[in-house]
Amino acid sequence: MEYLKNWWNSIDRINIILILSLGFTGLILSFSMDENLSINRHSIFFLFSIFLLISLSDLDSKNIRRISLFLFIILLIIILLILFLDYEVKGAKRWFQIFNFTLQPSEIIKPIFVILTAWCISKSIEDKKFYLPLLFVFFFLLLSLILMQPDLGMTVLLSATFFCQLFVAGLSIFLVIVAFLFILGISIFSYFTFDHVQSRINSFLGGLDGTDTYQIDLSIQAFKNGGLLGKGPGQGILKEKIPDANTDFIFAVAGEELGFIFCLIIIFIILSIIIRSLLKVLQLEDPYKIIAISGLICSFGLQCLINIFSSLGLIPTKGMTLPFVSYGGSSMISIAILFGFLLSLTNKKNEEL
Amino acid sequence: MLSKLKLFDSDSLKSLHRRVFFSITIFIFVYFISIYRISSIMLFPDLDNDTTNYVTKDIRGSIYDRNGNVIATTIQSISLSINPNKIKNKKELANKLGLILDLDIKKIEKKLLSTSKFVWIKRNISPIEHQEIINLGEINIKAHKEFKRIYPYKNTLSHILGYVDIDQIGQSGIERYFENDLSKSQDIIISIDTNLQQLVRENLIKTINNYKAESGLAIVMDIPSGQILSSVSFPDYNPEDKSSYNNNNLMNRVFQSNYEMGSTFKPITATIGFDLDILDPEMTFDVTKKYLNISDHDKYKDNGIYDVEKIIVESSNIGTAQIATLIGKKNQKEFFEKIGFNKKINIENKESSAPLGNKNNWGKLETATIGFGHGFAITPLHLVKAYASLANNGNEVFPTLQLNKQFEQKQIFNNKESSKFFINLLNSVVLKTEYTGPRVKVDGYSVGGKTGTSELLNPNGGYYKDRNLTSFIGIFPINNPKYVIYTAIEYPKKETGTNDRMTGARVNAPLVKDIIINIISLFNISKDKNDDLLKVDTNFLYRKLNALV
Repeated sequence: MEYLKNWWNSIDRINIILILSLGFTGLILSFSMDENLSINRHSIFFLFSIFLLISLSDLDSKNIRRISLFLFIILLIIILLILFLDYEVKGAKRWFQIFNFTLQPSEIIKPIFVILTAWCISKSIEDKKFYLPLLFVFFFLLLSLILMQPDLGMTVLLSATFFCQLFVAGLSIFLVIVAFLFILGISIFSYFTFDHVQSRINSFLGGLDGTDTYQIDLSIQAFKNGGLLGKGPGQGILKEKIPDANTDFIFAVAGEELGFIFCLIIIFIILSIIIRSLLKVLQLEDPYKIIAISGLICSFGLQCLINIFSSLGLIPTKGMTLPFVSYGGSSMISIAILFGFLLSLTNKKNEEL
Repeated sequence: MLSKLKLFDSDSLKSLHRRVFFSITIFIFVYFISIYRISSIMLFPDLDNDTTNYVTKDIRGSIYDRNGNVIATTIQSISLSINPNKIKNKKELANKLGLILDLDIKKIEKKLLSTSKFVWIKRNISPIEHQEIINLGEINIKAHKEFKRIYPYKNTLSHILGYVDIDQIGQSGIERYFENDLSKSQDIIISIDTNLQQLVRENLIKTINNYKAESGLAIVMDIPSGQILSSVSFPDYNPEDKSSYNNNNLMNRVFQSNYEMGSTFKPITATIGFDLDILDPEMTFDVTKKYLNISDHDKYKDNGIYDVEKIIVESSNIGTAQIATLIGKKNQKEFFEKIGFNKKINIENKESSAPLGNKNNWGKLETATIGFGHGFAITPLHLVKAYASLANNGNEVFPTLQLNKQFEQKQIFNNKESSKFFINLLNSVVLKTEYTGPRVKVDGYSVGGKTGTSELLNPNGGYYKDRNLTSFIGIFPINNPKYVIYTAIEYPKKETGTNDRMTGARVNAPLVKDIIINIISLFNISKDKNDDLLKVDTNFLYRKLNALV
C-alpha cells in the first residue's frame, strides 16, 4: 500500500488517468464484441497490462535501458527464429505460440527499440561516435527481419518513429529530404513486391484490379449508422460482417455503437496524451529523455492515426491496432510497455537523479 | 567520420525544443483532419457523397404497362436473425418462436443450439408476426429490412422487363436500361399491353407445342407510333426465380437473335425496284429455268412468265433474284442503310444486338440471294421496323418500349406511290394464294402479309439442312396499316403421317391469324364497312337510336 502511495505521488497523474480511460473504452467495446458478460480475454490482458505498466513506471532510467537492451536481444532472436518456423497466419510469419497464446514479438519490440534509439542518439550527442553506427546496424537488421515476415505496417511505423527521433535530435534538412525519398522508395518497392500490399492498395484506390472496397465501405456505413449517439453497446452490425472488426476496425465499431461523441472523446484522450507529453518534453533539458519521450509518443500517435485514418477510409487498411482499445494481447502488452516507459521517464522520482 | 557527413544540424537544446514543438503542431493538424472527416461522415452523412451507397435506401421504382397494370414492383419485408450464443433459455424461446412463426419447434431449437454467431430464423415474415416478435421483448432477435422484387406476370414479360440481382440492380431488359431512374424510386411506364402479351404468348406456345419445336418468337407493334405492344420470346424464365435462368432462356430472340429472314425479304426487294423506277409492275420475268443456279421449291405455274405481283404471290426465288440483279448491289446496299439494316436499333434494351448482315463477299450472286432473304441476317426487330416503315407511307418507324416518345420524321421513299405498291403486294399474297391466304384471313377484315422460310444457321458454321425457321409477317388492317405482327418458329417438326414441308404458311400463318383475332377483340376493332352489309345496318340502327335518345 505504501508502495502504491509513493508511486501515485511521483507519477504524472493526469496522464495515467487519460491512459486508463482509454483502456476502459477498450474494455467497454470488448464486452459488446463478446457474447456474455463474464470476464473475457480482453479484461485479463487489460489487468495484466495495468500491472506491467505500473511496475515499469516505477523504474529508473538506468533499469529501463537495461531491460530494453536485454529484451531487444531476446526478441530479435525470437523474430529470427519464427521466420524459420512454420506458424503462418494470413500469409505472414509474425506470430509465435506459447500454450494458448500467440505472441507477436515485433509488436513488443516497438517501444523497446525507441528507448535504445534514444539512448544511442544521446550518447552520440555526447560525442561517443561508436553508438550511432551500431544503432543503424540494429535498425536495418530489425527492419529487414520485419520486412521478411512480411509486415509492412510495422515497417512503416518503426521507420517513421526512428525518423522522428532522428529529426527531433536535429537531423539535417538535407537528410530529412533523403529520408523522405527513402520512404517513397520503400513504398513503391513493396507495392510491386508484396502481393498483399498491392491488393490492399488496389482495393483502396478502388476497382483497379477488380478488387472491392468492401471493408472500407462497411466501415464508413457503420459510422453513418452510428450518428451522434450511436446505436447502443452491442447493437452494431459491423462486427458481424467484418472478421477483423475488433482490431483493425474497432474505431468503426465504436462509432456505430457508441456514436460521434464517444469517438470524439477517444480522439481527444489520444490527442491529450500526445500534447501533454510533448509539452512536458519542452521543459526537459536531458537529450536522452527528450528523444525517448518524443519517440514513444510518435510511435503511439502514429499508430492511433493509422488505425483511425484507415477505418475512415483515408488511407488503405494497414492491419494496425488502436492502442489499448483494440483486442489483442501483444498489442496491449506493447502499449503497456510503451506507457510504462513514458510514465517512468516523466516520473518525478527520476527527475532529481 | 559521421560528423563530417553532418548527420545533425546542431546539437543545441534549443533546436531540440523547436523541433518537438513543430511535431506537436503536426500532430494537432493531422488529428483535426480525422475529427473533420469523422464529423462529416457521422453528422452530415448526406453531404458525404464520395462513398458508394451499398445499401439502397430508396425502394426501387415500379414498372407499369400501357394500361396501368403493375408489372414489376418492390415490396419491403422483414427477416429475422438471431445470435444463438446470446440466448440463455433456448428451449423456451424455440417454443415461443415456433408458435408465432408457425415453424417446426425442433428445427428452431437446432438452430439456436448452433455455435455460429448468426442464423436466420425466418425470411420475409408478415407484419403481424413482426409485431408479435417485438412483443416478445427478446433483444437478441434482429429484424432486417429486405427488399423483394415482384413480377406479378412471372414469365410472361420476362424478356421485356429483365431481372434484378440480389442488390436490386437491374441486370437486363427495362430493369437494366432504366436502372438510374428505377433506383431513384421513379416509376416507368412501358408500351407493352399485358393482356395482349398474355394471349400472344399462349398462342405462340400452343404453336410451338403443336409442331414439337422448342423455341419461337412473336412481336406486335403499333405502326404509326412504333410502340411495341407485345414481344414474346420462348423459352422464357421467371424473373423471381433464379433457378429458371439459363443462357437459352435468358436470350431475347426478338431483340438479340440474328436470322436470315427468307422470303419476307421479297416484297422489300420489289419495293426497292419500284421506288427507284427500275421496276415497272407490268414487267415480266421467266421463272421456268434456274437463274445463277437459283431454283424454286415448287414447280412454276401456268406458262412460267410472272409479273412482279405474281413473283411475290408465288414467292419465286428465281423471279426475285432477277429483280435484285436489276436493282444492283449499290441500290440494295443504300436502301438497307436507309431502313436501318446496318446498325443496332435504338430501343430501350441494352442487350439488343447489331445485325450480322452479310459478312462474306457481296458479289452478283449475293445481291441476287440477299434479294430473297438469304445470306443476310438481321434481328426480327429489324424486319418489323422495315415493314412498318414501308407500310407507314415511307415515314421511318422507330420501335420503342416507351409511351409518348417523339422521333424525328424521316422519309424513306423517293416515290409517293411506293408505300401503296408495297401494301398491294402484301394484300395480294393473302387474297391470291390458295394455301397461305385462307390460313390467315379473318372474315370481315383485310390482312396483308408474307411468309418466310429459311434454313437455320448452324452455330458451328453453314446451315442446318433439315432445320427451318418458319415465319410470317402480317400487316393489319392492310388498307389502313395499324399493326405489324411477326412470328417465327425455330425448327418445327413434321406431323406424323404427312410429308408436308414445314413452311411459314403452314406453321405461322394460323398463329398470326389467332393474334389478329386477339387484337380485334381486345382493341374492339370494327369490321371493314364495304365488306359486310349487316355490320353497316347495325351501325346505322345504332346511330338512329342514339339520335332518338
